[in-house]
Amino acid sequence: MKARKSLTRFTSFLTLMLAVCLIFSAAAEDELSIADLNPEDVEEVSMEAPLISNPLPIDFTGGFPLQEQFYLDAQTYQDPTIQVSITEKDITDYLQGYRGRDAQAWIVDIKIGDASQLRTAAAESFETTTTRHVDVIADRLNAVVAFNGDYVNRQDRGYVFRQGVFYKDKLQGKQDVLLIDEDGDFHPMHLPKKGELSDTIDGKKVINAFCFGPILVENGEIVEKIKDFGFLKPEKNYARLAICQCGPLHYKVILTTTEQSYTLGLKLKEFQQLCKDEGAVTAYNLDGGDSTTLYFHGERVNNQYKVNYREVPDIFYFASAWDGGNAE
Amino acid sequence: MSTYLWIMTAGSAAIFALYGLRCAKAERLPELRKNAWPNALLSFVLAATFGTILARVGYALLMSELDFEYDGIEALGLLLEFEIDCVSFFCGAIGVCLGVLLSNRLTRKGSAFVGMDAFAPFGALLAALFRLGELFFGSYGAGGELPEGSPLAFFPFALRIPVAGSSDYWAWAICVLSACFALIWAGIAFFKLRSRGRTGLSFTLTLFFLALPQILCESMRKRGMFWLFIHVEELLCAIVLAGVMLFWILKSGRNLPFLRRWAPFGILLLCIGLLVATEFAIDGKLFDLLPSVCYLFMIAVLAVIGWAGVVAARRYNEET
Repeated sequence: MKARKSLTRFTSFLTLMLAVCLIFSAAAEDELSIADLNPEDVEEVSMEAPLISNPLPIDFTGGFPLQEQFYLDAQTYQDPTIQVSITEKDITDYLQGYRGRDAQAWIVDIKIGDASQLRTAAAESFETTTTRHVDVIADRLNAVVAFNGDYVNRQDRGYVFRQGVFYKDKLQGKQDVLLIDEDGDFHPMHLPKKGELSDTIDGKKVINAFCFGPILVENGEIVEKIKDFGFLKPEKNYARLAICQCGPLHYKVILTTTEQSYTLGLKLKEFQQLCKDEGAVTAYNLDGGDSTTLYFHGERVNNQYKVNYREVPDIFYFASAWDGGNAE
Repeated sequence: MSTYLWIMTAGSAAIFALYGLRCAKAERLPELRKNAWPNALLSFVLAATFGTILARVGYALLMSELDFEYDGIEALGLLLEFEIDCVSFFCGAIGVCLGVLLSNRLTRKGSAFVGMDAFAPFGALLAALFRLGELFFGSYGAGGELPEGSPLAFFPFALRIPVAGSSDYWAWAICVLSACFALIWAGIAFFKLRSRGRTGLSFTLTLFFLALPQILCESMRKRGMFWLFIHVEELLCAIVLAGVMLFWILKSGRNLPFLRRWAPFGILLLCIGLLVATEFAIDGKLFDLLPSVCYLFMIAVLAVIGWAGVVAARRYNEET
């Protein structure tokens, strides 16, 4: 009888404890709302979340208008279709030998939900030499982040294929070309000649092509043999810009500063190493020097100390495809 | 394109008719009156032919457009493709001058420069016509973008430029500015230089003072011939200035001390150096200055070149 009473008491105690636990956990769940998470937590959680694919038209229109709420801080933008984060990085360690000044780079990490969000645009048209400032072009296209391109059309040579439209093939086998297919994958082409490139690659449509180069990193490895076609200044601490693919729909754009600013840029070899260390599977060099421009949140990020900066004929940019959920 | 061709052909014909009329009525210069109309007609035909050919060939050569290595002899076929972005205004102007010069050689005795002097104001008029013709080609004659809400954002100060997939914008109407400079010089050449001065003066002064402001205009233009950041036609303007100045100096001042004789040319070279530096500054290199400041400096430098040119031209004129 006594044993039975003890068992009843123990069972009651256990039930009570279980009930208390349930009540506390429910209360805890009630209290933990999204509003109470700080931005870092949101970022941490949703950076891992898959991005929504909402294809933009392959034409010269821009992205969807950007909403201020998606700027998480001064260097991060994140909506359900695109994540962009900019990191200023001290790259002095990459300088082979002390040169009296520090070196600095901007690493822009971009993830997109659909390949169509990686877009190119001209100052006026890809058939003219007209130039405008990167921020002016980018503003009108609702770019989340934008960069100068390959200084298209300012020489009669080259290969121009943008937003699915072929314009010109005047290749001479002197410059590497980067083809970007409909899935947003990079295809580096070594010194192609006229007539060797087509509008498809590996059975996929080519959407954009850049003709500047060289290819810096290929299959995750530094390209050793590089042909200097005149603008590279490989041995100079130069402002450089590379577009890198790190994975499917995951890109990094890496910029170094000019020799005229307070910090140094990198020599080509050093820049290649930086791209590789940043996880680039493919890295392709675009127009650098004074053309190097990074645009984010409505303004130029690099070279802010300059009152006069170079206008360019073309840009590439990443756009938001977030239409407020209407597409779903 | 066809409307453009019709207007340019009719306009050019009218200008050459005026040239013929001026020659026919030149009272003080009987050599001009002789064969005035046949000369005007032949000038028109040769100028149109040479102008068209040189405008296209000059562009192809300067821009290394023909790829014989890949296309072989068929590359020459490219020369038959005429687009506004594939012609050189300056090479075309040289062709026009050659046409008129050749016509004067064929139809008249004596110095062909007499006929060229008479042609000078009409040449400037022709330049103005073709500059205004650039209005047919959208942004071809346009310069930099005007700030949004600018009170000057209307024609003839600005042109509305459409952009594929984006909003239009207003850009400075540089072709109108070029045309204005050419028209002003046409007036000066017609009314002030008429029957005055040494043979060749009107023609060379016209070349000089058409090329001089064009340096500013070419610098401000956004479309045209480029070797990366170098405006090719701006370079051609500088070559014309140097060529004309050399002509004046070599043909005059033999009894002047060396330094005094060559001072205008030295000033010109110095100013060209300053213009190159200004171009770098406009591009954001060398000096970090606002483009408007750079252009003001450029205008000042061009004024100095103009003054040096007047000094050299006056010496040329004073010596018979």
